[in-house]
Amino acid sequence: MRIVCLLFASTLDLNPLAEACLRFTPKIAASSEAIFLDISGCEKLYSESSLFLRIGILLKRFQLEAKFAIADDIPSALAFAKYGEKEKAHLPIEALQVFANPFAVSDSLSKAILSFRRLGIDTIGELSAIPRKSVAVRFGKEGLYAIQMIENASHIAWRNFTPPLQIVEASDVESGTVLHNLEPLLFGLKTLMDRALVRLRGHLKLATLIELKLTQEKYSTVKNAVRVFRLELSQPQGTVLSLLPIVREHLDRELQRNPLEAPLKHVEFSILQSVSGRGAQKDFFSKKEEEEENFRSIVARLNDRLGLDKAFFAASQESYLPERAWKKNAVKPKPVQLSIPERPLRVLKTPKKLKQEEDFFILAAKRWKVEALLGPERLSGDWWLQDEARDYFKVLTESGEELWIFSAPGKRDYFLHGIFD
Amino acid sequence: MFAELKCKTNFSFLKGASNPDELVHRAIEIGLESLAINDVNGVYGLPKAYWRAKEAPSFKLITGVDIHIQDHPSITLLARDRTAYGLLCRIITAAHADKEKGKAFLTLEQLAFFSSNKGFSGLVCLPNAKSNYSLLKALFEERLYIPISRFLDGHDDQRGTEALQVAKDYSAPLLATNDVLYHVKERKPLQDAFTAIGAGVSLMDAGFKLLPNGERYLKSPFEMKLLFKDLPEAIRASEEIAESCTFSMSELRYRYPSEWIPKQHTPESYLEELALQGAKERYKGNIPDEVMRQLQHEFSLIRQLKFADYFLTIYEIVEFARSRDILCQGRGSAANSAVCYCLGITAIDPVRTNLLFERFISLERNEPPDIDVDFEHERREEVIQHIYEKYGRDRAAMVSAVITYQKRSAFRELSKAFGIDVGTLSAKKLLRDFDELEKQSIAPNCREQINALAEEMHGFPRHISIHSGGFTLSADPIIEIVPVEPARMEGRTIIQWDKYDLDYLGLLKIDVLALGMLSAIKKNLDLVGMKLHEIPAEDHATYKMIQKADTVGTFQVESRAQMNMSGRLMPRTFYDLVVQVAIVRPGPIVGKMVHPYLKRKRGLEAVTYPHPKLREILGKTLGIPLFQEQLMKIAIELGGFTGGEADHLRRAIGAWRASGSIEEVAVRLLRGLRKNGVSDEYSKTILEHMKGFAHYGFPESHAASFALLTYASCYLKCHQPAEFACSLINSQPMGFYAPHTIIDDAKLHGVKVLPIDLNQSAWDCTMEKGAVRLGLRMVMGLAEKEAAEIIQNRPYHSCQDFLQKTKLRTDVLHRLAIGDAFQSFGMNQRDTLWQILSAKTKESSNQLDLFTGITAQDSASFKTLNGYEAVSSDYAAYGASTKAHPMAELRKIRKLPKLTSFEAKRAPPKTYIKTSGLLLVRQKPPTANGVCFGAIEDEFGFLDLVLFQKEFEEAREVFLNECFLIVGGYIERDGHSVSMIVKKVEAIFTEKVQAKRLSVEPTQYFW
Repeated sequence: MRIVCLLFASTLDLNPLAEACLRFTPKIAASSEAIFLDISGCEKLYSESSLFLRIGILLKRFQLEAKFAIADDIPSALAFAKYGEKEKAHLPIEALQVFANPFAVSDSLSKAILSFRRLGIDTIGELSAIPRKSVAVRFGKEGLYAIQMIENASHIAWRNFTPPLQIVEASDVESGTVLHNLEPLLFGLKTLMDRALVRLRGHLKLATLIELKLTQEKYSTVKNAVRVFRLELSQPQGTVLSLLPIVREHLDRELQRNPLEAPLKHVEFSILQSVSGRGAQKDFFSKKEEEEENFRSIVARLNDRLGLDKAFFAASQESYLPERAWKKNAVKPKPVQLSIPERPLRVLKTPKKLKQEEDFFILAAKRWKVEALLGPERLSGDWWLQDEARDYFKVLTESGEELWIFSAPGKRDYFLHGIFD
Repeated sequence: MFAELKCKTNFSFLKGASNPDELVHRAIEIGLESLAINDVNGVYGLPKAYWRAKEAPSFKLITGVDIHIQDHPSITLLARDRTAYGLLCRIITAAHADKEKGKAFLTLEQLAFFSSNKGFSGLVCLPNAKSNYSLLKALFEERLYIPISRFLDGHDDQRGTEALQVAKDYSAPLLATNDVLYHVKERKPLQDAFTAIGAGVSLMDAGFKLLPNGERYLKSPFEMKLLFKDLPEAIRASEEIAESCTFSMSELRYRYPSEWIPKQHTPESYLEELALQGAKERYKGNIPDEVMRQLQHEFSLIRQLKFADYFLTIYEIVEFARSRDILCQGRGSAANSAVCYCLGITAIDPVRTNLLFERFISLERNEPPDIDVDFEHERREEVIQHIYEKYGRDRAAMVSAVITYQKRSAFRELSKAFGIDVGTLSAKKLLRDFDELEKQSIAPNCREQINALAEEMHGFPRHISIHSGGFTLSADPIIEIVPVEPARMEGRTIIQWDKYDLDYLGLLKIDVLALGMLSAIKKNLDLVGMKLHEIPAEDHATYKMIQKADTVGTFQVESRAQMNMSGRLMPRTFYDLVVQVAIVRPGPIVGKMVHPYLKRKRGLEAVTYPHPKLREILGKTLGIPLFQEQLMKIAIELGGFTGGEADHLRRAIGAWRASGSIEEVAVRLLRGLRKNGVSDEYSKTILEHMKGFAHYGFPESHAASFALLTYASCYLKCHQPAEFACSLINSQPMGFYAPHTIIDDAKLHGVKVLPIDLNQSAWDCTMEKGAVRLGLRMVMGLAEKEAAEIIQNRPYHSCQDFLQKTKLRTDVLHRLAIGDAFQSFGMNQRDTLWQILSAKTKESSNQLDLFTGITAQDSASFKTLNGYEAVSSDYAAYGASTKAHPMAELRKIRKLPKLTSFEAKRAPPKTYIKTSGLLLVRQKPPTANGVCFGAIEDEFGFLDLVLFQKEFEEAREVFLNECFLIVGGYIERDGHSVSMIVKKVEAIFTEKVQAKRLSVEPTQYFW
């Protein structure tokens, strides 16, 4: 075995780099602090020195720094990288921990290591002073296992790295003519999407980022033969019924702006990102799941059409001020009961200044005769944002409408802020 | 007139955003005639409120509490009279009993139980909404009032309707209140910040936990009448209650416990008899006239102020200590009293040393004097238990200490409230990195807002804790004067007031303090069979030793700064020691008194007195005022002050630093000085010195008391170095130096130190044919009962024998092994450890033994420890080594500069040298303008280091993280004092692997 170890100073998300290392060998293993590449049998593809050069370039592209070392087994490679040694015998005794478990940072052997140090055994090589039969009785099974692993490190099980899930479905198209209508494309696409989503369901996941790649015939007039459409779904989708309308609308809009210029040759549908979704078995006796999917589909379509800012869930949040009493939410919020005085259902985005004439409040052409003014409810506002205090009143009018107005404490300028229904 | 009867101060801890005195001051200002203070589960803030209320004789402070009830809303109780107040204190005490700190509550059953107590008919109940009204009505009858509040928060109508209904249903009158949380509405932000801090969320996330508006402020009678114009009866009810509450805190005059005073005596006559009897003993039957005059003067003052019982109480406690052979000594201003000296409370003769009695007691002040007594630190508990036993836990309790928010801690807490993730950043680092961190907050001008709030929050109580030794005693049950609650320390109870509160109310406080050096001296005296008073005075050899700064382990003069001073001040008499103890303090340093005094002392400057009267006052200190008493005397003799006024001046100076502006009293002093012909220039110098006194400094009496112990410890070190080291180690933890330094120092003085031996060592270090045998107490992690087990099963013939007879923990066994405790069995550290490893694993896992078939007899050969490894092993086992100094061994295995500390100290001044050593001390005092001090040690002694700011910044990383250093710099000399102005610092260990390094934690004082 020839194992290369890349050791990082801090715990990082090493998955992207591990994925990139797949170009060197299909046998990759990763822990929280290191990536291991099994390059046994790759000597015909590259030399070890050229591999190190290429790893160096790769690390630069990922803007990462790592120590790397090569050895005949996983723990030795890690220990060499960690302690900057090239001979097992010269490794400090602390490397014993690496031999006990190279895939996890642990200090389970710290007591044994301290005892070794106290006994004057400072390196792995000096462990030979200790009769093997004496190890277990003094340093326990873990100590014995670690020492045995020094000799038999190649027996440590390989933990193969699996890159994150990406599902790709593709098919060739024989249309012969330029598409002026989406339906034929969607007809074929539906099958691809269906297959992809069924595969996704097998992983109990829902799609959040999809990509559609349309390859056109390479006519001389075509600038970009490959058109890529990437859709970030604000709500995760799991069925073709919910996803297809989103894709249809998106394509419709995009292709109206930039129509296809040549007949389609190839269509590829990919699910690039997903989240954990639901149980493996669909519940056929309840419509709840279906309803939820439809709802999510509508929200996702609205988001795609209007933007994330324009379509969202509103959740109430604890604030005395009406304009801060709600917030945008990515997911549907649960209803909550708030213990604040009654608030109007309709609140104006910008309060409107009211004119006053005798018993009347006037706003543009609208006149309300005041029957009673209830309050005030005094709100200081968020003083740390330098809010001014407001006195709110409920106005009972002759017409039966109930207004929610405010003024600055002690002032007589009133503003309409809401209307009770 | 309306009276506000529900009001919380900041002593409700995070509920209430104004100080008690701010509330009272505001109440008086807006025309309220009465105000009730009812903090949560306590009366913590009442004395401060009372102190302020005393300023307006017509203003009535009503006492109350907001008591938490289990599974029920809290209720407010107000005390109408003294008996009711006593019961209120009992109720609060019961609420705290056996509860976690801050989780006090009462059950309704307990409350009902108290209803049969005397005083219950004097309690008024103001329940909160949704209370068990029927029960409360049954208990409090016509004294149940239903509070109604209008906070303009949109719930007023609902609250009002409910209150009216309850009032009607239970025939209870309505009571108008604004349930006050702060004195002015501008404090609402601070209250919100407290709420957010309490809830552990940011202001932005606090939501409805915050108040909707700032209406919970102290409203004037006019505002309240307007608010409740539809309910005048609710306003009238507040007047009725206020009128019925007649109790005043001034009624808390208590009696000193005096049942042990003989019947034929009054406290005064008994005190005088004891003092005169003591004087006869002190002066060997011949009381000098001046002493007699002083005693008569003190007797007359004590009689006038009725403090005789107080002196007698202290006398009783000191007598108890003496009867148990516990060394004790009064400190502080008590040493100004001849009565205290004659009673044996203090050890300094104030007449002979010309100390000022008014510093201790004055007629003008009319406050109980403060007598602090130090006891051996290991035996102080016996004294405390005696006090509890003699006076009972209901009559004796420890005083609390209020821990307050400082500007930095307030800034840190407020930063969290503003949504800044402060993590584990210290307040200092937070301030440094704040520009970057404030981006986390959405609040604009974050720093300004936090600063403004921190300013308000500064000095607010954070929590109460146990005072280091303050006790209060009473002839009557203390829990009827002030509630008592459990302290965090097991078996301790504290009262809800601190020492200032007791001062406000004129109640007794004694300080039972612990002093490690008294334990060490006592042990030393016992070892050599001496008594403290048998130590000969003015011993030449002792002073010689101090002059050489050979004072490791002694009292007060052992720090590096003091050692440096020893070489410059060259003390030759006891009074020189008094000066030395006092002079290395921020007060004299900031007041620029040190250098003039040293110059005069060394004859480099003429001793002059700008006024003839100053010769008498400042003669002892060569014309430089070094003590507060001297300043007071100047005020009396030249400023035209009375004794009491001079004491007032002393207090004003103390407060000067905080307020930053000179008090009127100091201006008066200057006027007086001018009138008496003191030049303006010298008056300005006096002002400069006064500035210094605003910082921490010792009064002369205190310095003299301490100097006595300094002298005693130095004498013992000089003449019995082995016993001194032995006693000092046995009194650890205490003092400035770790045991390894004490051992190395003893060895430098020719003392033989024997290692820990399982067949010889006792728990403590012992004397063995003139040598010190280290005790088992030094082994890290070894408990005293484990040591007892070792001692009990002796003798041991082999390691195996020891392992069979004892059942020690593995980590302790390992330490004993590496600490070479088995060497008398002919085994080295590694062989022993190898054997122990086997024995312990077998013991815990027999199955493994059977499975592997291993016996404990299997052997292995290990490298022999080199000298450095052996010393390191000893340090890892017991933090010291008898084999050698680590530097001596390091020299053998590392290439180090050849110069030792001994040679470095003999280098000519301004010579650049390079040496190495073990860093013992790092010190960066706030008054040193960024200069850092240190001391390294090798096998030949110490070398002081001075790192100026630039060099310190360059060496920061190494200096703060390494203990074995190579230092290069220039030698400086001043008298006998030698130090190095460091230019370069390197670490001896440059390799990254920590495992083989010996790590010794230096003593560190950093600001």
